[in-house]
Amino acid sequence: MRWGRTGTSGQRSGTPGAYVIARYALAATMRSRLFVAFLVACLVPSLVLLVAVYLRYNVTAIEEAGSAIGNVLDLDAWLFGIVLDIAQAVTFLVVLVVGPNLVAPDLANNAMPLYLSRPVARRSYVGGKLLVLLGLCVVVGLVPGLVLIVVNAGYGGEVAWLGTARLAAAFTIGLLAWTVCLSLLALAISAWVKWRPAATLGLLGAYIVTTTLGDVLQPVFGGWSASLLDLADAVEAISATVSGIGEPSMPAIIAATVVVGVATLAAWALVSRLRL
Amino acid sequence: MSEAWAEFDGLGVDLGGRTILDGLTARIQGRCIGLLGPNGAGKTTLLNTLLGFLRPSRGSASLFGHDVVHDSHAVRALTGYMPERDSFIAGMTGVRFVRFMAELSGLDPHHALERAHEALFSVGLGEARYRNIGSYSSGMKQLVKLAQAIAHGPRLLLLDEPTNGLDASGRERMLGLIQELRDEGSTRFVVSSHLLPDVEACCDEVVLIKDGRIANHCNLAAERRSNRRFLFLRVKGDETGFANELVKLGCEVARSSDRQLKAVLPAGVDVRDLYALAGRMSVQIRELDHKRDSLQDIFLRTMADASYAEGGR
Repeated sequence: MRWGRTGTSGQRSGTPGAYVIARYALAATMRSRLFVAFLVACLVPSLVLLVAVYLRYNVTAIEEAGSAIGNVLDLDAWLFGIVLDIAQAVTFLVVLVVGPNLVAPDLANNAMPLYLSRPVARRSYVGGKLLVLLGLCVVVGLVPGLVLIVVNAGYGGEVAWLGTARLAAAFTIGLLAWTVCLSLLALAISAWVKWRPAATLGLLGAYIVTTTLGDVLQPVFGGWSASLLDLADAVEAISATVSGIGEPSMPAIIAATVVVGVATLAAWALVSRLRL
Repeated sequence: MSEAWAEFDGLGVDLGGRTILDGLTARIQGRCIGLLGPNGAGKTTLLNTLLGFLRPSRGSASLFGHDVVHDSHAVRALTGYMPERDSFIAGMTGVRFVRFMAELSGLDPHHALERAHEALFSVGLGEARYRNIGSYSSGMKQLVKLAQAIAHGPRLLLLDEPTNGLDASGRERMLGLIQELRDEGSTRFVVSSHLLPDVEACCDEVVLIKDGRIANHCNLAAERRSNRRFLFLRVKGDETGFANELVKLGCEVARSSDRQLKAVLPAGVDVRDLYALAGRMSVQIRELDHKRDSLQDIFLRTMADASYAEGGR
């Protein structure tokens, strides 16, 4: 076959590099059937909660099932908390499984010159990888959570609808902040260790160490200063402030600073490793 | 004379407090440029600077009129790059890898797939294009790197040590491919190598780099052409008279021992005129040879001159 070269002029797609990188990375991730099964499993807690919400408002069914169920499914006070907790746990698992596999192999196989010798900036590369994690977390965390909130409001009638927008906003802001921070941390750790299992352990270790330290130091320092180490606490404080449900563990401005600080630090650590 | 497509103006790069490139000034016009120099001379640093991976500390460089610092996006859109080291995306087949790279260079998915198949066939990986790159041999990995560099049809190909890690037949094949690509299209090439035969086989212009400076910038074709005018002669008969007649023809002549003459022919005079003159003077030309100044001669001479210049500093 003769090699006919026509050049790139006139054929440029105009598709952002970040989107192309995200598309290929997502396809590579979804190629594993085990991972698809894992994603489906991530939806199970939300489905269970959905059934619980249905049962709670279906009085006849509850009466038929017995009196105890009514107390168990008294979700008014902490439905929001449960939804956020489930979404946070699920997104953490997804980031833990997928995150380390996105950047480490590229660095281990010297792929950065291939990306960066094209009209693709480092931030586009990071954006593309981040998009994969955000997309997956939206599917298994944000969407089911919003569905639960809306369904609950739908059953609750006019009064419940009034607070729904605020709840949905708090849930969305909290979960997105959590996902972005966690994703950047996962990508940064995997960029530094360049080995997937070590990156997974690193992220898990970082989470366990910071939350445990936060819990241990809480009685020592008192107040919210120990919560500064706990990203989950900061995110919950932001959500609590926006939703107006529950007592925030720290002032919203401090919580927002923690979230932005962690994200910035992780992004800096990540970009600084994306060299040749 | 064709227009310069690459220009360096006092280009300098410092890394970690060390000067890696210093005061590079050149206008590149040739089709296939050999970037030659010993290991650590600064060849890869120059390529990295042209691609925008490194920022010049001094001076400027432009490719096709685009400044490599301020317009690096445009430069990279016009360029195909084959890195020196093994570089690939894990878990991809050859065709998917090349398609991905072509899409990143700006082709739409449909064209990118088409071009990926073409590129892989053209480098001889047609049969292996659905295999995972991880299972490729070293030679195949070099070829797939070349395929990803050419798939989007760049105006400039930067090949960093393209025969690295290849055995003799693989090297032959790679050089053949580069020559084929060079002869088929209008793409410009920069071949960085420390292997003189590789550069000699593909390039028409050579930039010799030593210690971060351009030690020599020569046109190999012109050198070869000038060598055709440089003759070694051994004659029998009146060599003094023959030499004088050669001077009258406009030749530069130097006499050495054992009836040997060195002559540089002027334009308009060729070897047949010498034989005609010898015939008229009843002088026998017993030996006639062209000067064979290989790239190795140029390289060694340049390196020796550079060392001498350094010693004299």
